[in-house]
Amino acid sequence: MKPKIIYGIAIVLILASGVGNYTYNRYYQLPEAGYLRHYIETHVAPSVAFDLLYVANNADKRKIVSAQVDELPMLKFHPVQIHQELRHQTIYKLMGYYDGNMSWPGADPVKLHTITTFFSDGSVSEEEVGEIVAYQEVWSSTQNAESGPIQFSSGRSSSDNDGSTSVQITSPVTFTGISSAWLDKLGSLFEYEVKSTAQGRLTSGFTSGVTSGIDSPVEANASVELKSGQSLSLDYRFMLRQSPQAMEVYNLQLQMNFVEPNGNKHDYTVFANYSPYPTEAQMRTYVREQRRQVK
Amino acid sequence: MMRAYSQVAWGLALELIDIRFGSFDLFPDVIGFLLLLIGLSHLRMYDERFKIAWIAAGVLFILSVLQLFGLQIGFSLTNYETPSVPVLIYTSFSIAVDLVMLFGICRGIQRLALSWRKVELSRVAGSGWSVIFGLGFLMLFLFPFQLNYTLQDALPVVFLLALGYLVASLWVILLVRRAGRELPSNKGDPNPDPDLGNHVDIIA
Repeated sequence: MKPKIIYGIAIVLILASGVGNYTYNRYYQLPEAGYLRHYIETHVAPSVAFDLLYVANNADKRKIVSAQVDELPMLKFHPVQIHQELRHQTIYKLMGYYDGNMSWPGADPVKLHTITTFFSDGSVSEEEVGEIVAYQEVWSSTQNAESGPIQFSSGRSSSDNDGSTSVQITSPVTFTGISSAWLDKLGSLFEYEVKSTAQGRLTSGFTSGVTSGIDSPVEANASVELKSGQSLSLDYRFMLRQSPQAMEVYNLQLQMNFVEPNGNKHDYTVFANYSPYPTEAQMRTYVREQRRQVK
Repeated sequence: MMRAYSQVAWGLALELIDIRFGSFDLFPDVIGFLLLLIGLSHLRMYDERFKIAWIAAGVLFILSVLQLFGLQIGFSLTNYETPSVPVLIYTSFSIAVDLVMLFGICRGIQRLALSWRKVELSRVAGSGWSVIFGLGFLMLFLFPFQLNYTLQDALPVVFLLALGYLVASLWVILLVRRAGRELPSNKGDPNPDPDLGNHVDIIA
C-alpha cells in the first residue's frame, strides 16, 4: 500500500476518534447541574440533620459552595464534600446542620421544595430539591425516650440499603402499625417486616406490614398486644438500586406506633435512609432523562 | 553538515530530557527546539523532507514558548481526571507536529543516505520511521478516548506505548548522530534509484 494512502487512513481514523469521542462526551453532559430528587422527613433537632446530594458536570467551572433554607434559617448546608465521582459528573454532598435558635415559623410541619444555593462565582439561585417534610417536635426530648414503655435493644443499618431495629417492651402496649410520609410513594420499592416474640415465640411477618406489592397496605394496621419483657423487631430494605428511581434520595422516619392500655400513644422512630451510588450506566440514563426534560 | 546533525541530535535530546526542580525546568524544551531549528535550517537545503521537519520544529518552538506563558500541553494518562477539550487538542496537535518533524528527519536521512548509496542507513531510517509512525498513530488515536473512558484499566498497554515512543525518539537521536558520521557534506546524487535499498542489490 502506498504511504500516502496509509497516512490518509491514519488521519481519517484519528479524526474519527476525536470527533466521535467529543460528540459522545458532549452528549453525556448534564444540561444543567442540580440537586437529585430528595424525599426527606426530618425533625428539627441537631442529631437528625440530613445531607443533600447535588450533581454537576466535572467540566463545570461554577462549583456549589453552600445552601440554606429560607423557611428554616437555622438549617444550613456546609461544607461540600464529594459523594461520588463519575466519568463525566460528580455528586456532591452538602452536610446539613442546625445552627442557632430553633425558632419555628408555625405549628404545622414545613414542606420544602426549593433550597437557596450559593456558588463559587458568587451567584445565588433557588434550586428544586424534591420534597422535604420538617416536623416541629424536638425529637430528642419526646421521641424514643428511655423512660417510655419501649426501649431500644439493638439496631443496624448497612450500605446495602437495609437495616433492622429491635426494641424491648417494658410495660404492656399494643403495637398498631408502621407509618412514614414516604411509604405510599415508595410502594413495593420499600420492604419491611415486623416480628415479635408475642405469645412466647417469634412471629414472622405477622402483620400486613410486609409490603410486597403496590396493592399492599403501606401502613400496618394489625394490632398486636405486647407484654413486658417481649421484644419487637423491624427489618427493612430499599429496593431502589436497580429501579428507575435509583437516583432519588430518601430519608424515612419510620414510626412504630404503640398505644398503652390507658390510651397514651407512643411512637418509636427508626431512621431508614437511601443514598444513590449510581453506576456509569445509571448516570448516563439519568443524563439522558434530564436532556429529555429540558427539550 | 556534521555540526548540523549534532545540533539536531542535541535538540532532540533536550526536547526529551525533562529535569525539574519544583516548577523550574533545567532544560526547557524551548532550547531544544531552538537547536533543532538551527540544525534543520542547514539540512533543509539537502532534502525537501528536512524542510518539512524544519517547519514542524518552528511550530513546536512556538508552542514551547507559549508553554512558558502558561499554555498546558500534556496530561496524565494514568489518573482519573478527564483532560479538558482544549488541553486534549493542544496535546494531540503537539504530538502530531512532533510526528511530522520526526518524519522529516527520518525520511530526510533515508533519502540522503540513498543518494549516497548508504543502503543500510537508508533502510534503518525507513523502518525506524515506520515504528515511530505506528506508535504515534496509536497514541493520537487513543487520546480522545480519555474524554469518556479511563485508560487506567489499559495501563500496561498505555505504559508500553509511551515507553515505546520514548525509546523510538531516543533511537532517532542515534540515527541522526550516525547520519552525521556517515553522510558526506554535499548533496550526493540528486536522482537516486528509487528502488535502491528496497531489495538486495548484487553488484558485479
